[in-house]
Formats: sequence, structure tokens, C-alpha cells
Amino acid sequence: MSFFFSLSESLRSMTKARMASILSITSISLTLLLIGGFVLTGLNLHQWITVVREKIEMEVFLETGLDEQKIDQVRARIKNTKGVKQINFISSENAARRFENEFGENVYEVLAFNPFPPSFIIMLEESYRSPQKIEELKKTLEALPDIDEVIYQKPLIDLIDHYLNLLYVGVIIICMVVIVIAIVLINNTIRLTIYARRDIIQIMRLVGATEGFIRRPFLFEGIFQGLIGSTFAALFLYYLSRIVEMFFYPDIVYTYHIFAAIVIFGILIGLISAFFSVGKYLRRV
Amino acid sequence: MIQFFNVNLTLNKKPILRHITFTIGRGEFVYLIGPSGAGKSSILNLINFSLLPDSGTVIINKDSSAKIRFKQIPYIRRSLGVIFQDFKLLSDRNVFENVALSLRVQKKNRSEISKRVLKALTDVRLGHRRNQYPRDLSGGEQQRVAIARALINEPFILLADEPTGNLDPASALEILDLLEDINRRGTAILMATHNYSLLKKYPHRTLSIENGVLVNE
Repeated sequence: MSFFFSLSESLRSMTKARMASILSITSISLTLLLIGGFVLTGLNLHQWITVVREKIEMEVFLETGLDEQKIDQVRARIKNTKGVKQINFISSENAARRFENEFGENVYEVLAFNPFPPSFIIMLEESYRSPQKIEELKKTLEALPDIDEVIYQKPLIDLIDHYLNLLYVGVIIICMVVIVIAIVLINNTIRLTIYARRDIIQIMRLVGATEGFIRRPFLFEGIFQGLIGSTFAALFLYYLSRIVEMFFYPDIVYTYHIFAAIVIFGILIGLISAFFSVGKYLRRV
Repeated sequence: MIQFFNVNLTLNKKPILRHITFTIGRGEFVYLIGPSGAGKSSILNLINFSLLPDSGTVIINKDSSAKIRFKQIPYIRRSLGVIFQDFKLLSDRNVFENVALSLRVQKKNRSEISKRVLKALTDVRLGHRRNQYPRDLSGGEQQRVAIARALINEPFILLADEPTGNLDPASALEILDLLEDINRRGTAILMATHNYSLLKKYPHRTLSIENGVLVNE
């Protein structure tokens, strides 16, 4: 009985104060759209950087003149080194061929001998793709016998790391700021809808309603407004992602968890704002 | 049943009531008179625990302001009826729903609500207007709806804060007749007013307040 009374009170209030409800739902929608947009952008930038990082490789040059048995021993040692995901052997001949493919010159015609030592191209494990870890792995590999030199694209990796950190910090700061703005904005609009109904709060108190009884319809209202506003935001972002996927960027990353999180966040923010806003009037009357 | 012992009240650092002491017994009809801003409404607010005194004690039956717990207050309010100058009816619900609100907050079932609301409306001679909205009623009728809402819990006292303040003289007398009738049936009445002419029709014990001080009984 009391549950249905609270439910019907909240629906009555939303239809009565229609403009305030629409304002509240719109502000929830817009702010969650903004937050969701930032999260999706951050996620896709992270995904893009992960793909770039996967391509990071290290080249280990061997001493010249090693026989096959020695090369196999070096291969085994490298393979067993922590951080190495996959290795490919490049013989001196293959290196000369690669040079010719890249620069169009036959090294034997230019120098009359092959200056390229045999090498291993190393793909790194995910946890070894940061500048510190790569440097650590480089030193480990250089300490192994029969290895002449280890090289990798240090400036590129430092650059990626720098921008990745900036991206993470940026997205976190922007999200925090937007979340604070969202909470303040949503809280204010919900407070407006409750202010419009301060008369019923006062009357219910006078006729002996408990705090919980007075609060419940407003909490339902907050939940409804949060649910409707966040569903709009989630649906908009979902279809926007689908359009981007179909027409502009097929590799876009969007998971259903994000849309579910937007809806849950919307409901929570509506509920919490309503709880505190009613509390203010309960204390005041 | 209602006892004030040396009650002092300050609001926003301004003294509102000073050293107020009085008692209202069961079934009494008491006028609380004084100019606007004298502190009449504050006394009514102290009785329904919308305000708590800075010092001194307010006792409602067995409940004392000195020991009251916040959670008890709604239950104490159910034993008090309150009406106001501006009626405080909800404009978006009809007469029946306005009166039923007092029972809905107590989670009473539908058939009990129907029965008691109809009885209360009949008592104030408004049973036939139960489906109408406050805007369709005269001031006097709106105040009778408010009285029905206040009486539906069969309170031991009805607190009336300037109940005739918004009414024409004829309607004011009608409301006073109704309050008199309610009092004859055993409900105590504390009526705050500055309409002294009304007091002559039904003379009762009078508490007079000026600048927050009870000047005479």
C-alpha cells in the first residue's frame, strides 16, 4: 500500500511539475552524454595506443661468425628471457635482402661484402612495453654472451609513453570535472523539482508522516529521472558508436558495460540527489 | 496534557518567547491572542514539535521536549490536529484525497480510509463535495476540509492558527461555530487569533501574549 502510494505520488509529481522534470531529465542526459563521450574517447585512444605498442620490437644483433649451433643457443637464451613474447631470426642474407627491398641497393654491389650481422627481432610481452621495462630488457639481453648490440626505437616509445600518460591524466581530470559539474547540476535541478513540492512535504509532516514515508516518493522520482535521462544518454551514445563504426572507423571500441554503467550512474545520481535535497526540506519545515 | 514550563525560544538570535508557563487541560477551549509577531504561531509550533525550546520544557501528554527523540515526533503529531489561516490544502487533489492524506501517511487500508474520510467530511458538512477540488470551494469550505483532515485521527487537541484570518465575517463565524461544536464533543482547542471580536461570541479562557511574553490569563 505504502509502496504503491509512493509510486503514484512520484508519477503524479512528475506529471504535475512536467517542465521541472523535463529539465531534470535533460540535464542528466546531457551530463551523462558528456561523461560517456569522454569515457568512450579515452577507451578508443587507449585501444589505439595499445595497437601501436604491440608493434614495438627490439632487434638483437649477434656477433659475426657464429655457427648455427651457437645461434640456436642464443635463440634459446633470448626465448627464456622474461619479457620476450616472440622472436624471429634474420640471417645476414635476409638482412641484405631487406636492405635491398628498403633502399633499392644491392649491398654486395656497393661494398663487395655483406656487413649485416645476423639478428633476432623480438616482440615484447605486454608488461614489457613501457620505456623502463624495455630498457631493463635491453640491458639483460646485452649481458648475454655472443650478443653484439641491442637496439629499439627509444624516441618513439618515449613519445608514446609521454602522450599516453597525458591522455590518462587528461581523461581522468576531465571526467572528474564533468562528474562534479554533473552532480551539482543534477542536484540543483532535482532540488528545484522538490522545491516546487515543498507544500506537500510540509503538510505530510504536519499530519504525522515519518521521514522515510515523505522521502520515498521523491526517491522514486529521482530514480525515474535518472533512469530516463541516462537511458537517453546511453542510447544516443550507442547509436552514435554504431554510426561511427559503420561509416567512419570500423575498429571503434564500445562495450555494453559502458552503457550499463551510464544507466546505473544516472540512477544513482538521481537517487542520491533526491535523498539529500528532500533531507534539506525535512530539516527546514 | 499540554504544559509549558518557563519556555524560552530564540530564532536567528532574536528572542521570540520568554518565560512562557501555562497548562491546557483535556477538553478545554483556549484562545491565544496577541498582535502579529507576538509569538502565537511559535507556541503552536512548539506544541507540534516543529520547534524545540532553547530552555524550559514543553510536555504533550507524557512526551517532554527535553527527552523527545526525533523519530517519535511524527507519532506525536498524529495525536494533534492543526489548521492554518491559508488552509494548506493540496490544489492538485480533490477534497477526499486531501483529507485521506492523514490516513495514507499511517498506511491505513483503503476501506478504512474511505469510511473515516466520509465520516469526517460528513461531520463538517462537506460529504457531498468530496470529489471537488479546493479551487471549486469557498474559503469557509476549504477551512472545513482542513478541519476534517485535522480531526480524522481524533486528536485530543486541535491547534488553530488564525483559522478565520482569510475568511469573511459570516464564514469566520461558521468556522467558530464548528470549532465550538468540536470542542463540545471533547476535543480541546487552542486557537491563535487577533480577531478579538470573535471571542465575544464564545467566551473562553484566553492567553494573551505580547512581544513573546505571556501578559495575562
